[in-house]
Amino acid sequence: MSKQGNTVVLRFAASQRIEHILLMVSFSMLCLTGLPQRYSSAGWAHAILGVFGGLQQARTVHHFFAVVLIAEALYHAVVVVCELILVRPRPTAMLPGVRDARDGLASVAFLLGLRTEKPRYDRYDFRQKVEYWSVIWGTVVMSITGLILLFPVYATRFLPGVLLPASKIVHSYEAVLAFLAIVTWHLYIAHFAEGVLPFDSSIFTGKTTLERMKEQHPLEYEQLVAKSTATEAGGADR
Amino acid sequence: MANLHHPGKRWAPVMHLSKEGNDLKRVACLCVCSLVLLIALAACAPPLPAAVASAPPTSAVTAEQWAERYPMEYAQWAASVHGVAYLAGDMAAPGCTGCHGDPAGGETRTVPFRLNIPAKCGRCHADQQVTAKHGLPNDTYESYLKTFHGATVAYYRATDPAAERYEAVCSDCHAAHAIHAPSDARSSVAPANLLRACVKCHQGAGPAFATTADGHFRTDRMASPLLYVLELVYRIGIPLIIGAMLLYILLDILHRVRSRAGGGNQS
Repeated sequence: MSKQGNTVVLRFAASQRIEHILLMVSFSMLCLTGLPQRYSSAGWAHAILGVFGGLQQARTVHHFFAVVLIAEALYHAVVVVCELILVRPRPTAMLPGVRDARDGLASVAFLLGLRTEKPRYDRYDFRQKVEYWSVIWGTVVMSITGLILLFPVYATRFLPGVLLPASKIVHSYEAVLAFLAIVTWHLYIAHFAEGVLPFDSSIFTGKTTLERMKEQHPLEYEQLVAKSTATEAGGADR
Repeated sequence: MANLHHPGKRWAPVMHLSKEGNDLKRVACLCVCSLVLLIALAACAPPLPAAVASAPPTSAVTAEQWAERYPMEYAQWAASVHGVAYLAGDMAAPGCTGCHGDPAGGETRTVPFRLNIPAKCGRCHADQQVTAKHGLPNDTYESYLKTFHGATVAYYRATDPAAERYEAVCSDCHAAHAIHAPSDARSSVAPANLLRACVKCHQGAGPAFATTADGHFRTDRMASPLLYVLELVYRIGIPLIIGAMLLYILLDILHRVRSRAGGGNQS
């Protein structure tokens, strides 16, 4: 590895790393206290609920971490909106586009041996965008249905009664989907994907190396190098 | 065996506790391995015993003696769907001793008695032969257990029968003795009376609340087309989404194995 390859660059700000920790803890606790409620007649669910002191106590813990998750989600929404309004150029790296669909297909073709080169990714690849937008979708759906289930009397003053059992179905199945997606997709991206085994620490340390950026996000790397070269040239001209 | 965490070294179970690698990586490894272990343990947990209550002990108290001791309850029962069938000679219909033990025991005032009520009703209402014979829905008990009320009551009945719980049991909505078919105007769960049953616990509930039908959670096509479609979407969608993710991961693993076997990186 070259000396330049070992150069450390900042990938995630401290606030983003704190957001990830809050999301990680709240999501884990919501799964741990929520899924046993869905399968409350199973022996394993009783064992987990017993750790919290019983079903009632597990529900209280569930509601606490739901508040943490909703607060985190609202903070994230405010930050994103503010950045889109105030920061130039607009930070749109996480927005999905046609290019991501093309990258996905190209990636599958590469893995099947139908292409000789991997697709070249920008700051976030299509796999990371799938996960980010899944979390956005899941958080919105789970928050709305969770609040309806938590305040059924109040909710049915404004909404049709059938939305209560409908919320129960959506909340319950969406939880299973989220849990399975995290266990498969997130563990794969963050722990087992090529170049990150045993895990990608950048979301905790905030740092990555130029070598890793060049390997995993070549377009971002090239933009960074071009920007750096332009700055140096500007400095030399002066 | 290969060591996933430190390529080139042999796998060792004490690796997590060793000083190799940085702390963050060790914590991550520990979390992932713990998660896998938790899922494996959960899958191996034994199932719980059947949830239906056993028959109460035979009582020497006759129907006449019950009527003398509890005239109001007896009159309500005699006019109910159960009492009418029983007094007409259907001995399978629940009489006093079908639900109660000996009244002298005062068991109706105990906490376990309340938690046991749905399981007692389930003795007949979950019995396929009984429900078929009387033209009743065969999922009454099961659909109750799927509700917030039913799941909570069943949990505490199994784990802590002495717990004082206030979630609705059958008799809270359907009455304890004056039980009538929901289509009967005298029934406490007849459409005109249902909200009154709900507000006993859910103060401030409006008419829409009573239409949630949360006493019994049914998702079949006839009972609720919307719930049926929602459940169907998830039952099809979840395997498709997770299957696609697993397929991609499998392709990646196979590609990496092929690349290593080929002795180089194809990218």
